[in-house]
Amino acid sequence: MSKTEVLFNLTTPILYAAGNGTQEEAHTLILKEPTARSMTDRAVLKQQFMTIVEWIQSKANPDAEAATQDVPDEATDEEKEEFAAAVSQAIYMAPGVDYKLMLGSFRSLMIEAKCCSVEDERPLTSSLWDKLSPEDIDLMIGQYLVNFLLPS
Amino acid sequence: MAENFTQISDPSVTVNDITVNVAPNSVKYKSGKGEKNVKIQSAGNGNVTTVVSTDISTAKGMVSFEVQSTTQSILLKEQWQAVNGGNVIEIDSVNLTMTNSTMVNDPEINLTDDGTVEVVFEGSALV
Repeated sequence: MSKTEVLFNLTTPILYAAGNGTQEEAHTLILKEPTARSMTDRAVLKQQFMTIVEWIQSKANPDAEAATQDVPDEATDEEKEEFAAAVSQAIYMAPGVDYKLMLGSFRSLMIEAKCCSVEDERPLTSSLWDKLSPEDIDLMIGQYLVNFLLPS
Repeated sequence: MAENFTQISDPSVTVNDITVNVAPNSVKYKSGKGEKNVKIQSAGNGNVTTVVSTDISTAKGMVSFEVQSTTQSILLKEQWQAVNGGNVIEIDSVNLTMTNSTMVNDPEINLTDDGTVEVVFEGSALV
């Protein structure tokens, strides 16, 4: 059975309002499976993801190919994480991938569709999104694609 | 050569990590360092020294702004008023944060064409 939530460890923690008047450091985000409410953004991401996977598979890198083939259901969390990191890199390299479009849809999915929460307490807001490091956003996209939008 | 400086008039304000749409030119803050009193001591022969004290009762932060009377802002105001000391205010343009904030006023809501609601928070000194 596929997961509906995935824990994402931030490489650069962010400060968030903890609800008691103080700010605390967030070290993890919870990424949640998209629902039909966010079909359009999901479709945009999936289209771009398919281009990335196709590019990874067409590369003469046997490791990446093996990883792609291994990823569906039976893949371990570590294998998925490795593949997610490869996807985060491939976003910049695969021809035909529109990063701006992808980032816009991903941001909308995380904020408007509430598919992300901070330390499982509070929804990710645009102000918290602005605090995230670019590296973490790239890694989040990779994790999200691999865990929730894998081609089946 | 003369340098150019820009007046900060369009700050970004967030309350509890939610960016607030404020009325233009309405954001004000006091950093909460406390008011100081300066007293003079006489050393005789016309010589004086000064003694500085801080009125600690004034060492509290204050952030105020106005929001338009929209359904969203009125709902937010209700949430802010409900938590004593539980709000965190950030003014991004000057990179200052006020924690343990309470909305201290009970504003009049002007349900008019150009109606705004004034919101005043007080809390820890801004850092």
